[in-house]
Amino acid sequence: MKLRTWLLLSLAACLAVSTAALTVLVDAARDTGRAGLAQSRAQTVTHQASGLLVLAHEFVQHAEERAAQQWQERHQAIVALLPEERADEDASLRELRSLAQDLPDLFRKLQQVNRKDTAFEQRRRQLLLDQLVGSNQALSDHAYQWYHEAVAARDAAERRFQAWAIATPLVLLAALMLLAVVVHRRVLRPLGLLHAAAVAVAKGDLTVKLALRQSDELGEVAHRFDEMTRELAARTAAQARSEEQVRSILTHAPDAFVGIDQRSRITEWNRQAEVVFGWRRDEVLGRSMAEVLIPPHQRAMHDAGFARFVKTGQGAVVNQRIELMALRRDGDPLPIELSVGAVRDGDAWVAHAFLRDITERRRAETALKASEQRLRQIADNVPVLISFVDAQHRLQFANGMFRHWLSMGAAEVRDLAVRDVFGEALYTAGAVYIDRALGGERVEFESTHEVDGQPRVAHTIFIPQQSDDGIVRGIYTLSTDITAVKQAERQLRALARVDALTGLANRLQFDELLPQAISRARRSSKGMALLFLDVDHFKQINDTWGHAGGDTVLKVFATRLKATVRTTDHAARLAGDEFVVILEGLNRAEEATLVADKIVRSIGQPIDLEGRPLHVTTSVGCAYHHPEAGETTPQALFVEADAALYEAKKAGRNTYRLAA
Amino acid sequence: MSSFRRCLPFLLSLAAAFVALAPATSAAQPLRLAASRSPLSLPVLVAQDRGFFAEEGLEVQVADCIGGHRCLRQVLEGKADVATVGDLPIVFNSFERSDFVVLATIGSNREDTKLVTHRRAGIGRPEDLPGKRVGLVHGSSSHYFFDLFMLSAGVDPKSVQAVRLQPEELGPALLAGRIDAAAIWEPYAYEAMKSMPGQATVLPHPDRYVLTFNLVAARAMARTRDDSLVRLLRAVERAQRFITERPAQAQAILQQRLQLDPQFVEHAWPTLSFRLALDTSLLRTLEGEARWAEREGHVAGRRPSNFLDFVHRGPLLRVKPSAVAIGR
Repeated sequence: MKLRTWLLLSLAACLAVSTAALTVLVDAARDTGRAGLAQSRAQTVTHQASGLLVLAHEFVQHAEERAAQQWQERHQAIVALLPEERADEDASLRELRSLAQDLPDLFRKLQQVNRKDTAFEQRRRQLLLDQLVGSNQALSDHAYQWYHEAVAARDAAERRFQAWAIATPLVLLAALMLLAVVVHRRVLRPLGLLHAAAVAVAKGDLTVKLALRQSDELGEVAHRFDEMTRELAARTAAQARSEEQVRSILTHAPDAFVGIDQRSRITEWNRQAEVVFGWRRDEVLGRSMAEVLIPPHQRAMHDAGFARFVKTGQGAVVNQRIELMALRRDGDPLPIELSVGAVRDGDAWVAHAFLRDITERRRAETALKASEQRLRQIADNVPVLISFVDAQHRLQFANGMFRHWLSMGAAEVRDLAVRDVFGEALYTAGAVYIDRALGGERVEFESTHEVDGQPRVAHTIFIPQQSDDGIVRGIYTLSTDITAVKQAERQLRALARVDALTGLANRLQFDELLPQAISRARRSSKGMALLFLDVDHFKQINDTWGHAGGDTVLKVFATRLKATVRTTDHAARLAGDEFVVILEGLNRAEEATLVADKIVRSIGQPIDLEGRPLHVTTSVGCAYHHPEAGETTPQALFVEADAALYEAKKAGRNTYRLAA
Repeated sequence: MSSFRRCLPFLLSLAAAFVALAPATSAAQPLRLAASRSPLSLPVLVAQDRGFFAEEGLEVQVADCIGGHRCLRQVLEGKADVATVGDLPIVFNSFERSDFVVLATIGSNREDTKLVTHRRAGIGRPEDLPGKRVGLVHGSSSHYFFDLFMLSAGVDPKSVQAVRLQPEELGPALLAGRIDAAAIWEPYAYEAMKSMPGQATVLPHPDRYVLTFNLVAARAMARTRDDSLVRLLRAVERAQRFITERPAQAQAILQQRLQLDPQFVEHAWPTLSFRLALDTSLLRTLEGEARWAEREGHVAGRRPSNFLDFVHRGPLLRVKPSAVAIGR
């Protein structure tokens, strides 16, 4: 039951009991009063009645009027004293009243009788007298009885009153004690338990449980308290776990962790801090951080900044990474990287910081810088253009030579669009190569640039730079200046006397061979011939099959040609599809035409071109010379051969003609 | 409270049982009680009906008798130990013998006896009575009442033709016309009236005669069996309390036990007064009545010198000391 209900019930009960008790007490008091009154009346009546009896006797004795009168008066007094008739009055009172009513009549009769004196009257008088005395006595007896009963009633009423007067406070006391017990059990004890539990919780014991089974307000509170404690315990445990984790993290952190309070005294110092700075935890806790870590000349600045920080939570070093010099235990300075966090603690701010010994890093950085420097020098001076272009066609690196060729000056190379660096034309030309390289292909090509007013030829290689995940991040470009090489090549080619394509002698060599052949012929007095031949309809072949096809035809032509003539003879390619053959050691012109015929037939066999047979024909023009005929010149022979070729062509091609 | 009251008989009977078991010997003998068939016997009847005698550890054999004078005769003849009887029979017998004692008055009635007359007799006033035949029960309240009635009115009671009858005979005699009037007590007066509806009248009597109804025992009982008498009186006292506290139930017992009309019981109830006592007035009454009996020549023998000798107060003194004003 709810305490409120209890309280109300108790109050109601108390009120009820008090009211009842008071009512009974008042009642009893009234009864006592009434009984007392009755008693005193009865007493008086008794007294009066005995007096009445005496008077009756007197009257009987002396028959005096005085006695009669007094008797009447006394009788009236008695009647006056009798209380009003009530239904529940004592029997004796009723009898008393009845007797009192009858008596006067009797007395009057007696008064009458007294005057007469016959024997009959004597008898009458005697009887009436006895009757009167008897009645008077009865009156007295009843009066006494009434008095007695009134006394008893009064005693009873008094006893009742006393009993109630004692019982009421006792009952109230009992009720009070019961209430006290109930209050103690239902309110005080639970409150005590609640208090004890709250104290225990305040001390830190979160395992306390109230488990009160009451279903009233206190039970509710206890239930909520238990819930709250459970919640608190859970949260504390979680917090402890969390702290545990943090501590573990900090203990095993690879960086030194230092915490300071608002007086800049060290409150946290992890294992790594011990290692890095050389101070043990117990040695530094509570000491001023500036003393321990900050170099002397910086302490003043720190103190000023810290004072500001404590109030505002802000400062130069807060929430940033800063590199400073700190002090080691042995007094040596130590480069550290500092990362400070501010935490509010009540009204002030406190800080904690991660400090990383960056000595190694510094060393590494320096070494790296030196290494970079070296590489840069090499790169800049190597006679190769080196650059790096990223996937967005931006130049991210260019060495000295590159910068020189492209007149880029000393500006930093970073995010420069290739288009801007090379110009639209070159960029467009090169873009296709860039894209191919960005696709992962190693690309080589040559290009020409004007540098310092001179044309220069570059041989460029694009090397795609792939990261481990396969994505091409950019391309390295390596360009070599091959201008000189190219020149040499050209020169070389100029000096070359062999036709690159067919392997036959070239014009140069032919121009040497022909006069030599003529000379040899004069000297040996033997005949020689010059065959001039070409590929019939070669233009069409070129047009149909392209240059590559044309080249193949020429190569086959040359091979067959060489196969047909003697080793002592010479075949040469003059240009395009024009070929010449110098025959020596001939006796007759027919020997030349024989060869010409062989050539025509050899050439007339199909050539396999891309799997398909191609019929190629040749037209040959012969010019024979015997030294007996005189002198000749190469030009003359040439003209003759050419004319003969013309004839062959006119004759329908695929044939030969001898010059006349 | 009522549940406690209900428990009370049980508790009392338990106590009584213990009391009874301890001194069981003296109460072993049963008490023979002759009770008059009168409403005044109600205490005895109630005690019997409610088992108060048994609760007091007393075995009481109640025998009926018509008229207290007959009941007393039972005691004098040794056929009963205790009798209920009015004051007159005590007085009349006291002239001849003294082997009985009054234990207590148990009740009184101021309207017990009436003078009933038949219409045909033409009696309207006491003055009409001389020469008429009047039925009386000799030596009883009927007798005294008639004399008082006549003398009080100034008419000589000896002027009538007194016819001695028993109480149960008076009604029929009046009805039959053998008598003109009769002095009868209740319930016989009522029965007589009922038997003559409209024919009978009661003559008014201004002087009230208060009849006392008493318990009388053989003198031999006195002191030898006081213990039984004490229990008897205790039971009677309880019965009186019962009558006061539960009048309806008491009336029912009265009606049932004496086969009375409910109308009569209702009518008579206010006239009945039950109180256990030995009042001084009893003595006066007995003495006055003795003088009358002697004076009027109704009795032979010697008037007792002291009625105190006839009162044995021992038992009542132990039951209700405050009620005892007389006796030895």
